[in-house]
Amino acid sequence: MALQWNLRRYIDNKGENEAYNNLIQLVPPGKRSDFNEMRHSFIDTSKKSLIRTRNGKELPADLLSLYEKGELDRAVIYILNSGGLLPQWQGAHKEHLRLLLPVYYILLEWDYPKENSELNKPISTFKEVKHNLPELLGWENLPKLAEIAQQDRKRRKGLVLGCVDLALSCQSSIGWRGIRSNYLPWLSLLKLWFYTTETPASLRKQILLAMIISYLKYLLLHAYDETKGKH
Amino acid sequence: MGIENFFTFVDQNLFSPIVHAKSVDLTDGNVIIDGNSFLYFFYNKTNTAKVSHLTTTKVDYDICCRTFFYALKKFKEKCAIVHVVFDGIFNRKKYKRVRSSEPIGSKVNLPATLIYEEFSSILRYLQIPIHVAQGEADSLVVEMARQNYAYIVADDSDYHLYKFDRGYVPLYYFSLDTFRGRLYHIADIFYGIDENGVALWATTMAFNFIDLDALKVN
Repeated sequence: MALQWNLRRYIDNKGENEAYNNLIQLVPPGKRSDFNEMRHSFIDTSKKSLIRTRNGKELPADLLSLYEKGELDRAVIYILNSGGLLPQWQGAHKEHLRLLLPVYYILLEWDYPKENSELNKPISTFKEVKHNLPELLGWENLPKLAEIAQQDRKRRKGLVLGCVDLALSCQSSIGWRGIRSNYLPWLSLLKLWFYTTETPASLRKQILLAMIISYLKYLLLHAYDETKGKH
Repeated sequence: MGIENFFTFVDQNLFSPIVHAKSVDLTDGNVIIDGNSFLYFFYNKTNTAKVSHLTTTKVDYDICCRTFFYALKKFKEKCAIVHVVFDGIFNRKKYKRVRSSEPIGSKVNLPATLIYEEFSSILRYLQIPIHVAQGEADSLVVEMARQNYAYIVADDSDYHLYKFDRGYVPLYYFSLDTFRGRLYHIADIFYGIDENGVALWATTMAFNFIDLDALKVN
């Protein structure tokens, strides 16, 4: 802290220009432009540093505007910017990661130019486990990023359901027949939760029932309740 | 960013009991809130209280959300304009000086994602506009404060380093009930030095461009 005081007095005594000239000598030449950029960022805050994708493209305008309003998770932008998926994720279940693989693939696919054969190199490494992306996903009909924006609600739900199914594919499957397709994504997610949660087994069943009951209550209130809006 | 001990530097060295900091009432004012900073501040406040051992969750979400709601509602009701700005994606580590008090490789205890989600839904419910910066929020917060002639509310001593009209109001000294707090301008901390000098000081101290030992020699 004494250093902070001394530096402050130094700048005060010598004046900003002379202090700057002396201090910049102590900065390795290669880093000087970064130093200056940082320095200017304190004064001129209007400069916006645009995020670009890994291949230098500008982000799609609609995604960017959702992101700036806080309606798009920054993990999506992070994928486009660096190709990494949730680097700080510390979870133990690879099912959770598999849930995101289709989205990851769609985003990466958008970023790569068509001629680039790198995307045909299908191995991708997450957390030291190799995944063969196209084989794993097995879908030729994964929608392109641009198409998703135009899809209606039903198809988007279908995509979500597909993601969850992929995540669950190593578990035994429940017979889904007889359940309205509206509820399938939610039920599938519940199933995923049930298999991967870390809450102790003794509580798991109770929590599951509680969630189902809450959901039913919500649905009934939503459909039949006469009091407006309160929940 | 976080310059080591800067908060102590400001608080204990510059404002002795004799000289009081300026006080301000934010009622009817324009306010820009640093979202991440605000969230951590209130999250830590509720978390230092005893955590219940009866549940399996480590965080009491209900109390946390109620605190968020109470605080944000106050700002929404009492301020003329209020906006919340969040950090975007950026590389935190680049050039930053490692703080000597942190053990190497320690993981910062970030709140669970659900806390952020809850915070965002409260903001939307209260119809407080949300902005997400492209990089670190600081620049966008200051830029918006300049454009809106607004105060900045946060718990981040970095805001002492920028020059803008209305001033920085740290949450640490702010009372939600009276809606008053301490007000700081850049000239209060760095009297006699213009903003270029401060920028120079800050860049030198916060980042590792210059070796600290070499600096001491000067």
